[in-house]
Amino acid sequence: MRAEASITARPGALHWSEQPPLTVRRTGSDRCHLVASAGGPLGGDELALSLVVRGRPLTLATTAATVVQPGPGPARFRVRAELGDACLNWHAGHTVICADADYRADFAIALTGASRLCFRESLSLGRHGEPGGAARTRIRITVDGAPLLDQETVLDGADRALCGPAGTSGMRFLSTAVLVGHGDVAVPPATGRCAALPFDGPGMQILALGETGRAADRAIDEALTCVFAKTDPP
Amino acid sequence: MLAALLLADARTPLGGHTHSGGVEAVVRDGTLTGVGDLETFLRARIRTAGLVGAAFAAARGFAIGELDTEFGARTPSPALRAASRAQGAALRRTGSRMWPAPEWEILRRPHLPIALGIAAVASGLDQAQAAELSVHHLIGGACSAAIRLLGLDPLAVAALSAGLASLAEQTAALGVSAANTARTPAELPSASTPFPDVLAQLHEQSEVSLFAS
Repeated sequence: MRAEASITARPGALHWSEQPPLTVRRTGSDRCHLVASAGGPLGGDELALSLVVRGRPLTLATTAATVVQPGPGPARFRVRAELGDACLNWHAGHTVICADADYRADFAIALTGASRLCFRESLSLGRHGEPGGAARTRIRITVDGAPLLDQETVLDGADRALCGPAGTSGMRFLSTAVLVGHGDVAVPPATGRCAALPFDGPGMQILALGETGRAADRAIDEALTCVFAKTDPP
Repeated sequence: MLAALLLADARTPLGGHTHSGGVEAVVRDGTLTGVGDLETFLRARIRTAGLVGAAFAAARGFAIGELDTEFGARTPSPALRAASRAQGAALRRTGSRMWPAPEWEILRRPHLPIALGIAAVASGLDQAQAAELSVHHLIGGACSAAIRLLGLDPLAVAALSAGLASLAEQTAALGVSAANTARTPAELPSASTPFPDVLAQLHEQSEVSLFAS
């Protein structure tokens, strides 16, 4: 299945176009939910979303976990986001990579010096009791054209090396948050399973691995509480 | 050929001996305890950080400053960025004396793969040699640190290094091909895994350590 959706948010206007299984629902004055209206994605699916946000905040969330299942090829999800003087709060639920599935996600986020971003993502290797398939998720963030973060996370529940001490260390749940443009915020201390990594530029990434999805998400929540202890969260 | 041997030789003062390539952090965490774990560790590192380093060391025809910024964006951990710059600066200090070239003057503290690329060009190595050197340093740094930290049998670790040669060569070749396909430095690989980044920060916070990273 191939589908494309786009959302354009400007002062006084919030427009979108959609194609199943990518369905967009407005759920607040500055909030939309992405609804996977046909389940999946399955291997071979190619889904694309483009986002333009200028002069206003936008929160984009998903209604449920996304379950990536095997198919004749990789399941691809491609996101292009362009922000001006705006704040994007991307809060995706867990993406569950079923055994034998192959998930490729590609997020390219172009910011300016006036943009603010809070990008949260969670990946789960497998459903309950299942080792999980392969995922490659690349996120590239630029500020005024200069690269701030370019990271392709390589996971594979069936690959011994990638589950080992230089991979995920046996943990099946990874949650991440990327913050850009929030000013002078606190950097939470690292624990054995969660660390905040400040960029050379204006922001940081927080990574958390967990034995359960809740543990990884909670570690991110706690780190964000520490980051925004003295300022207002996004 | 001699240039490649000199650049691969631990006796050439390039500063690599102060870095463990992330091994000290996983040893302290208790997730790397023997030669078997070291192999698992390296098989993941070579395919991710090794591939990125190889591609950047083999990249030709791009602006040095732009390559350096792109590599920094692929190293979100500030501790690992500092380690890469420290090793790049050490290589620049020695390399610029061994093979003087104007490219050494562009950055005072280049990231390690960028410095390796400059050294390779200045000393007449080809792209494959540059990429293989980059992977070789990753393996050598981790192996010698593991021997010192865990008291592993040096012969068993030497056998492991030799056993990893085909993966290392394959990865270096992938790095060269990625460097040649990329139309801009932005298209170079950025493969990574989460646990080394998490532990690098913890390692930096620890008060006592044998290696800087």
